[in-house]
Amino acid sequence: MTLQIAVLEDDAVLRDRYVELVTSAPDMSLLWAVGSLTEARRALESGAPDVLLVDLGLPDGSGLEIFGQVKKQFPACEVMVVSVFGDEDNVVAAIAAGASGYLLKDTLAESFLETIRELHAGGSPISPSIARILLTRARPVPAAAIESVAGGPELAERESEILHLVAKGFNFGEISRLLGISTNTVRTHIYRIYRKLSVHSRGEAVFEAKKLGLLDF
Amino acid sequence: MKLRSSGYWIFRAGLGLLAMTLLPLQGQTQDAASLKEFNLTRLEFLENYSGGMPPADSEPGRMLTLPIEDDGLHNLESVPSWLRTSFNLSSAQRAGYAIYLLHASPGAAIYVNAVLVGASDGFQDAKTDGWNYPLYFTLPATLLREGRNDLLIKLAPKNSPNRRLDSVLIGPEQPLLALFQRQLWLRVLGVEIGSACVALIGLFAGVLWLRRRADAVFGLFALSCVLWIVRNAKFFLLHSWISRSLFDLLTDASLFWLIAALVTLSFRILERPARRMEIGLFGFASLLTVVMLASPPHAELTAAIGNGVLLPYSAVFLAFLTWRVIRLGSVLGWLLWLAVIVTCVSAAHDYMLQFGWLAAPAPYLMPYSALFYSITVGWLLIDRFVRTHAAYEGLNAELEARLRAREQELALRYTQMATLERDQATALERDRILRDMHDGLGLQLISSLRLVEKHELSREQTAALLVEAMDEMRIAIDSVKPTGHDLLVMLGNLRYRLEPRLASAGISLHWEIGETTGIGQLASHQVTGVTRIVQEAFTNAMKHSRATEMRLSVSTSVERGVQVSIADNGRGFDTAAQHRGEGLKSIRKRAATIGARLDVRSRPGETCIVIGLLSL
Repeated sequence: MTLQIAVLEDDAVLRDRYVELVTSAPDMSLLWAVGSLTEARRALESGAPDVLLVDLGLPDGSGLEIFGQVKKQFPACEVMVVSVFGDEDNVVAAIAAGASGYLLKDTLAESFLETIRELHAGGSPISPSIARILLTRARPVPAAAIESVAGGPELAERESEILHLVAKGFNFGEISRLLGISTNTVRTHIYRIYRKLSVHSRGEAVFEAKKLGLLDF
Repeated sequence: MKLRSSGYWIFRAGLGLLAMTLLPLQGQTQDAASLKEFNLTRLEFLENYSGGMPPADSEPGRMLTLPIEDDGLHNLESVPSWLRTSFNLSSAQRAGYAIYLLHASPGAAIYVNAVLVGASDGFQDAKTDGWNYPLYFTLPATLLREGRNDLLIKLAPKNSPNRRLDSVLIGPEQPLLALFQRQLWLRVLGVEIGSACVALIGLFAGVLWLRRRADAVFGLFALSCVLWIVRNAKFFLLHSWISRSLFDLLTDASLFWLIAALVTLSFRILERPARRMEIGLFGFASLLTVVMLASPPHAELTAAIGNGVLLPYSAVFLAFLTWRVIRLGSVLGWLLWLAVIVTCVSAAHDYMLQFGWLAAPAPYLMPYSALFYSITVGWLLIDRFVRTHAAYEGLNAELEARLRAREQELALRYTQMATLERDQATALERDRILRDMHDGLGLQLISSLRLVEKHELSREQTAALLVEAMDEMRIAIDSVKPTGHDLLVMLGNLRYRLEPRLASAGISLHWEIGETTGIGQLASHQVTGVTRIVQEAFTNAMKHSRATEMRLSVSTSVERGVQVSIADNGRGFDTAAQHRGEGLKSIRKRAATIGARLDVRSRPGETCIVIGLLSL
């Protein structure tokens, strides 16, 4: 069974590159590739993608705006934000809006496909920078009674621990060894952290993200 | 302009007041003329009767015409002076009659048809002298006879210089009572009330002076008030605790002191102290007092001499005062001038009255002029208060304005400094980023360009060069982010990017993070520098070492600061060799730039680069 991939990217060069990469992969097939929200909305009628790659800055709005429709129509579809390097804040905003992972536009070919596969298998990628941002935004559990101004997710002690280790550069394998848990458990924790970020108000995620100053387009 | 006009109005008011004080006198004389049923102006002085009441048929005495002043009346403690006259009544006139006497000094007892109808208060008491009190007694109808009625006036047997009788009126009760009440008011009650006012204001001034000794004006005014009350007591005090002659002497002497005090007060109010003159006046007053005390029989003469000296002096003083007040042109000055003029005019009036130059039996006016001084000093107080208050408010406003200005200035300076600091920080940061771009990405691009120009590079090699350029750019981007000063995040990001490539090169990476207290103290250019060195080390290892394992460890300690080491198990290289390793050269250069110790050791199977930074 091949992964059905849909692409929403307005830059033709990048879009062609994604299309090439996807079609070159034996385990993936391209469902559609479009350059605007309007086209994407129409294309979504045609069928369910397994993974949707979304660029955030589109000519007719933010890529975040499609998230709601996708999650409503195809709850199983994983949304992946395609971002430029150094744009972690927007990545976190996208995660808050329901994205399960992210890809950098300049990711090298092998990593690109590998990340998609991993995401589909339930492994959300997380860089030390993103871990650091999530830590600063999250409310620590013992102080849960105190309302955090940022209004971020409450993290369990283990989740916070994992984020701290990620922020120090440890990979999942090392973390699993350090904490005495399996790599899959580490993945599950990360996945859960991502869901916590978006769970409290998925519908208002865009508004929330804008309020937090994470979106400036 | 305003001051001058207010001075003018005070001047006008003064003239008006003078006119008003003189008008009632005019009216009174008219009243007396129209009233007089019997204005008894001619009396017999029964010189030979020095004891009991003379009989109706006694021998005729010396005829005197009112007003009587001394005129040889008995002047002994024990000898009264008997005066006799008579009036004729018709039968219809016998009811509702009264007698009114003015200036029966030093007191009188009245007999009608040999029956006593009334006497002055304290008539028999040597220490009592109601000389200034008008007398009024009703005449019982049963006492009066049709036809001739005899009137006997017994002037009190006291040793007093003021032997006088100004008028004797007999007529219907009602108009006489009104006349009596008005005279009592003008001569006695008015003076009493005025003195009470002066006492109150003087008390205020005295207390004020006690609390502020520097304000001599108020002290002098308080002194003047005391002297004035002593002086005024002569007009209303019936009973004295001391002998009447000593009392009269003191009240007379107090006038000289009063003049000295008032002149001094005037100088001080005009802010022109004249110490010699002031001392001279007080000295003169003391001299006169001493002489009067030393020789009571000559007290009256001494007082007259004193008055004679002071009169021309007063004229000179008045001229000086007028000149000064016109120059000053202040309300206060004009009020003072008014008070002095009123005092002088009323003093002149009283002198004329005392010496009998005024035909009308007018009241003494001088006691009232004290009120004008009170007004002046009251105005001075109000003026001072208002000015002080205004000055205080002005001072407050000025202070507030200054404070506001200072606050604004501080705020401005703070803003300027903050802007300057921000600009400086921005400039420093921009500088750092620019240098970093040149040293990193720029250098990478130039060396790549050189390689592309010189050699026939394969597509893979060109791609590898571009990837290296991208790596440089990513470090540059990482370094400007908020986490750019966090060495662990920077190294973590580097690893996150490079690990897939290391893996495909067959290298497994061990990540060891030890104790890292104080690692946040590193400057961001040091963090970037270390990150670049680590990246260079990774790249070199991937290119040349053929290693299978690499180890990065980060730790901090108080002695050695931050320490980062990168080790691999590759084939090693000659650390002294210059011919190869652009990479090593670049590492050394970067370490020098950030002030880091660099320790490079290499032998086959074990290469280790240690970077030490003392940041704490």
